[in-house]
Amino acid sequence: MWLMMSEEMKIVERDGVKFSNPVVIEGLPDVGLVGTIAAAHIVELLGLEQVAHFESNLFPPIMVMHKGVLTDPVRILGNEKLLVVTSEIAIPPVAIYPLASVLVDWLSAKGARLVVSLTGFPEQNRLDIDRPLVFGVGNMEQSVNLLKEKGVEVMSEGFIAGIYALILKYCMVKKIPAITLMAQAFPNYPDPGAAAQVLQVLNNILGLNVSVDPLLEKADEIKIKARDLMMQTRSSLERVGKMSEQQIPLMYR
Amino acid sequence: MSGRRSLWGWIEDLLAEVEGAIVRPSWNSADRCLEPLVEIENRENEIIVTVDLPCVDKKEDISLEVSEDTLEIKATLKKAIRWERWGMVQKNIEFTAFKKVVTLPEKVKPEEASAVFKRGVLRVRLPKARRKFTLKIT
Repeated sequence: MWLMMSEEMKIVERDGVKFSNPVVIEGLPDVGLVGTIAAAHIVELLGLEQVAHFESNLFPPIMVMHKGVLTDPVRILGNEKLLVVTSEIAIPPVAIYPLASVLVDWLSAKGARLVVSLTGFPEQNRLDIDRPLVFGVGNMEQSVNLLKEKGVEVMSEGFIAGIYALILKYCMVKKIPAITLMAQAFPNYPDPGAAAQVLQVLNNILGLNVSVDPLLEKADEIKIKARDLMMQTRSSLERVGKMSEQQIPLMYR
Repeated sequence: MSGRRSLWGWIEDLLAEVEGAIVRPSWNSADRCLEPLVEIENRENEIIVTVDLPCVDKKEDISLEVSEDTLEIKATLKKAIRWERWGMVQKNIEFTAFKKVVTLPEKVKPEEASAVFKRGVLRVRLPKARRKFTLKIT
């Protein structure tokens, strides 16, 4: 058993797992649950198994049952080359800093070569948008260039808030290239349509071949199942200053 | 919610949210209803209530009742849903509809309300009841 820990948070790795400079996809609950829905779809389609989980007293005392098996709700699934970080509970604001810090330390130890966070960008007129646009943020020149090469519009001025912002920052410190892909999304409803758009862009960047058709076919069912997680996440996002993403920075250039 | 409100109103909302999170699930076994996600926008002259209604096919499947301070939404699912492995009680419930009563932050004029249902999202506009007068500055 392998541990990466701070005082408040630790990653517990399963025995016998080997990693070979993996690409990492982060899909923790955020706007529109875009990342979480996309991550769940990738895990299902690629048949990824759990490789590690997070443990912390900062999380609520919740476990989840799947097929009768007791499972930690915040966990990492994957294989040698691809890891997916996801959660079935909203991450409490007090846990965001330690989670991001421990995660990036662990990814650095595993030789991660690229971290991609998937999320939504609140769009008030989402109802009138057929195909949400996807924007990108990179943490260093190499990752910004990657976005541009793949035709992703890069955000050049503005605030970003939430766990993905910290992951970008901590990866920069560890010199791990990291990007965030953000699709226009319903601010307060699960948005499988936005998740599908983000997955299309991810397919292009990573050379994956994850079909979004099954995701779109069960979009309504996903929206119903994800209501409670959306409510918890909404409450958590209010407390982490998510509204600042709508503001213009004072030092705008 | 957007728009101005008192500190006490904010505290009441927070307490309601905490209480709801602890004691109230988003489903009801007695009437086999699910609670939809709702967003309330408190604008200057109107309140806009938006409701996410996946698996609801058409506007004819939705009924709305508006009073001065509440909006009641009922919507029939196009197909009953049952999750056969979920929980201990829940797995025996076949859900057939969404239902929610929304308490509005200010009084409205029900007779002037309007609603649109598009892409599974219901949007209800409720003009506020308070009267406004134009004031001349002398």
